[in-house]
Amino acid sequence: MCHKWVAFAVSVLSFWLFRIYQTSPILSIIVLVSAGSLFFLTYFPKITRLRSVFIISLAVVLIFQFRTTNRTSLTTLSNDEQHTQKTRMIDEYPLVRIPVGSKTLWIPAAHWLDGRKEAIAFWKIWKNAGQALDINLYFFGNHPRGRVGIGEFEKLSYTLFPFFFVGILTFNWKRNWKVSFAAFLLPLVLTSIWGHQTPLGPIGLAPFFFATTAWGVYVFFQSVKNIRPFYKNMVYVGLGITHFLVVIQLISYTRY
Amino acid sequence: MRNKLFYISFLGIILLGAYLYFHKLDSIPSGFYIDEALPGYNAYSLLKTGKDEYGKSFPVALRFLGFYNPPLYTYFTVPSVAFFGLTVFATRFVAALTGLLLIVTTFLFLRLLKINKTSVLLGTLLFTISPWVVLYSRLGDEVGLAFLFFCLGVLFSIWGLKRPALFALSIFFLSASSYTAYTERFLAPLYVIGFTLLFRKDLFSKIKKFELIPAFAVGLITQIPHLTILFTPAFFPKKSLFSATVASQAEKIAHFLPMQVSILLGFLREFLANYIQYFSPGPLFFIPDPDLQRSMPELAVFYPWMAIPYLVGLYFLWKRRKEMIYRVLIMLMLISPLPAALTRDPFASHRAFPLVLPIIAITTLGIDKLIAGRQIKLWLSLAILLILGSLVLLWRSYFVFLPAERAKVWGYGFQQLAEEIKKRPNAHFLIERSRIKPAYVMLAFHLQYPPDKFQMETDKGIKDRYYTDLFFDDYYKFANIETRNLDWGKDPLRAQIIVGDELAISPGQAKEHNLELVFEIRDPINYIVFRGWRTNPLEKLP
Repeated sequence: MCHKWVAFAVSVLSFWLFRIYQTSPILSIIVLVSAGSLFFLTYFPKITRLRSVFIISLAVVLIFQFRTTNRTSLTTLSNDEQHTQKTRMIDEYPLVRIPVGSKTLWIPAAHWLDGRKEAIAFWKIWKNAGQALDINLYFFGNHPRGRVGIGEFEKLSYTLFPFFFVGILTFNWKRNWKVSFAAFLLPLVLTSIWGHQTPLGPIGLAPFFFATTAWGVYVFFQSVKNIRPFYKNMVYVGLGITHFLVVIQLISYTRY
Repeated sequence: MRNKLFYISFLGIILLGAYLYFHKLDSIPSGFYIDEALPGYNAYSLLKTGKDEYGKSFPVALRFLGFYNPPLYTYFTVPSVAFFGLTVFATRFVAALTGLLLIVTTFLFLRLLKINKTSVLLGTLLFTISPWVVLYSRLGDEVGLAFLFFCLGVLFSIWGLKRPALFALSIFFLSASSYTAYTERFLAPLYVIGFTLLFRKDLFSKIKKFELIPAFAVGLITQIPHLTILFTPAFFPKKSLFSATVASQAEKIAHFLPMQVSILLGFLREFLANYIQYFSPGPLFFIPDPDLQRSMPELAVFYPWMAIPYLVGLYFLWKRRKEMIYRVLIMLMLISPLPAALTRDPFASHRAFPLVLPIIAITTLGIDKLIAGRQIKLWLSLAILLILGSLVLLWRSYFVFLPAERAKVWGYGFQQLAEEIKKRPNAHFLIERSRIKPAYVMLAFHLQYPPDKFQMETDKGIKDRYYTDLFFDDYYKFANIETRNLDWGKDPLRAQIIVGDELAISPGQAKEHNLELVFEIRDPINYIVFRGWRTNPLEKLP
């Protein structure tokens, strides 16, 4: 049991939680509860109370994300976007001609694909989803594709990335698949609709990232369990020092 | 699936590929990029004179702008130029043909995965229509050809585990890839090392040593040309590693930690940030490469919906990681972006092109798992619907937006400029070079300037210090053309036509120096690409 708690602590003690704490200490506790319940649901899938705790806490986190996101209309275009749209509608492909026998079928492709409000909203959701699915957003402060007008920061230390990756691949999705998918898909869809103009980033996804990373760390603990104590300690010390140095590195980026 | 239907479907995919890669190849992309003009004109030069633009006979590395590109794409373009003439189509032809052959190699690789035949076909189809493959199959440079050789090397190495004689062919193709592009120059040895480590038991105990001797011999012999330039600066002239970024990061960290540790940490973060984004669903499926010339408007390197089978495929790749072919696949996935991650460009799609194979294979595995044991007709219909939707997106981005919006970054205007120069054989043209890529080779290409004359008019001394002189001076003077920066003190006093982009000469400067606008070249969406100004020295002189 001790390994599980250490794994969980390693993953949640991050800049992301610290930032959330700075904004609202209560919210940071709710995020912790949400991530913890998701993580421990993997071991105790039958405890329905744990599932309820997760769902309620995630809902609170999502409500907070909704309230702190500076949402822009999905169908309103910026000046640059309007200019691009106008060029495309007039100069590039206003109509597509398809000969059908002796007649010609004219398809208003530009209107369908770029002019209609539904299409504009679709492309915006697409772009937002792309940003939310960029791993570098979480582990590298979106480097090397930093965005203008958005305060980027490393949400988790990049030393935790391998554990996150292993966590994703080994997470027992089947055991609690409804909850697991909800933890990932629901915040992803909502972030794609609401956008990224939020100071804390897509915090709805924080429980998912913390839980899968913690699971990856736990899997690592299990895999080194049987090696000789000397080598095991060497690995722990090496990783600990690297993690500590990287944390200092990330602090220096926030200060200078 | 019956064999006949299976192969007919595969043939259909190749035909679709032929259409996608050859349709309007000479006009889409609508410009002609400098990376295409260099192999194109040098192939023409080699064809006509047996020497490159500097007068060097069949070099081991071509001194393109001082970058010493591996030469095989240019050599393969020679027959194409001989057959079609010095045209845009001829230069892009080898890349398009390579694209078609890559469909075959991908099909063969996917068949090794031991998955459903329908999944193999769907995977091959996805490869054929993926924006990454379409983009580089229609770009006349070395990216696709090097990848083809690399794929063949990988395939023969896998087959070689059963028939060791094939290792010689594997090494031959891997070696050829190292003569085709920089990425493969580093990737091919990495693959050989990785493969040897993965299958050391098979290679050193099951297979008899004498069976490996031909492979060693082929490797040694084919690398002799590289050995001749190994210790010259030409072997590794690229300096675009991210040293500046690392240094700036290290300066920040040095407030807390010793400089050496800071540099190490700065490097680690920079490298990992670059490396990991090659596996990240965002850049792979949603966000286009920020380099406008290496991407399509509004499309990433793969279609967004492919993110789902990709993630599913990753999960099952991990599950099957102990099987031979999946071990190779994991190795390919891990090593393919390494050369690209060492450079400073975010998501350099041209350098990471070998990653297409593992990503497609993983996505195909995901598709296989998604459709396995389910109602095949329903899932197949969904897949076909998604593929049709993808084709619409491809048409919109590549065949509609790209030729219009990206014309300028693709070097649109040089062909039209060459026409203007041809119209005025007696005028002297000064090409103002401060904001445009080296223009000399684009003009030499479009003017079909005789290579023997071009070699005579460039610095003849370079031939003798060909592999050692890294400095590239884009001052050129040939025919009635000169490319250099504008000298406002002298140039308005010479009778000539000054050519520059829209910002080269302001209306005020034109008025002050009595310059007369003689032509203007605009791109398809009406932005000015070039303006030609005639000087009037007699009016200017006091």
